Amino acid sequence: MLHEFRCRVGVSGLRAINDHLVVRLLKHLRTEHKSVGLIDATDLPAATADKKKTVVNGPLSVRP
Amino acid sequence: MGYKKHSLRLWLNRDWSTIRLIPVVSWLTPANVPEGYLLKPSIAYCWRRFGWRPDIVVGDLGYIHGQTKREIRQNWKVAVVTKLKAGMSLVAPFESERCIVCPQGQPLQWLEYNEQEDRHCFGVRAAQPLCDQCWESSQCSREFDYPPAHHETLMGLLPLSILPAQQLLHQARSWIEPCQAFEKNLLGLNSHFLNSLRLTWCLGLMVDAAVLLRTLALMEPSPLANPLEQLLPEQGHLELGL
Repeated sequence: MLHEFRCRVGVSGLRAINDHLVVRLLKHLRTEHKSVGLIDATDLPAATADKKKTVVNGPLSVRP
Repeated sequence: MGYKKHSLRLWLNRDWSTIRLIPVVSWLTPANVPEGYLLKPSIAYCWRRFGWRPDIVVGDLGYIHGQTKREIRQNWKVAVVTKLKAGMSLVAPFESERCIVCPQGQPLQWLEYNEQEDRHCFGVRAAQPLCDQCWESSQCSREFDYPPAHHETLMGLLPLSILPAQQLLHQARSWIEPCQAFEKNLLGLNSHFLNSLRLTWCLGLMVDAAVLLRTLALMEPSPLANPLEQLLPEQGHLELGL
């Protein structure tokens, strides 16, 4: 269901939802104070489990 | 290869006793996109969508280029505060990151920013200044002014030497990590199988929505008093005096 929701709403739809929420929160800002923003970035590791070798190597062949 | 979630967060200043940072704009990119590249688009987005932008933006370390800071200052009147980049040399009148001096070495205090003339004014306000022994004292007004463009990191719209800038760098910045940990660990952003940028975009924005909804819910007055209220931790106040 979540997958279907994601496909339907898309990135722009999610952005629109967030913008709507942000507008509501901006009304709580005190205009007599300077507003402070912080920019940051956080790493999200890509899933690589499907790319890893999972088959155990067999024994080395021994030359007769 | 991985991804990166860049967020411009707003410190909600309605109640200074609690720390509430909300994600205003987020961008999900491949991991090799530097953080500094998305500051200008974030402010432009805020201005376009909300008709608003933060007055001050605190950046991590000194990775934001001086040219970007200049454009942001000139176009949106936003002060970008970052630490001095490692190895960056100081320029006069800065004797150190926190100290501005006159040409003869007397420490100066920031007095005001004159918006019309676009200049910062500094003056001698020490109790026992060295001015009495200075050979230039008869011609000196004991006040000096510099434009923000003198140095975008050290001066800018908010000089790095003044207390609010230092408070922002050393106090406000430290609240970023708990926000990121909340999103990644409690909201589960770290546990998803992120195998495409599109999926990462969707999940990143859904996490933002959860944070925004939670903040809205917390701002609503609670009908029932919390019986454990006295045991809740209290945050220190951050009064910038701006």
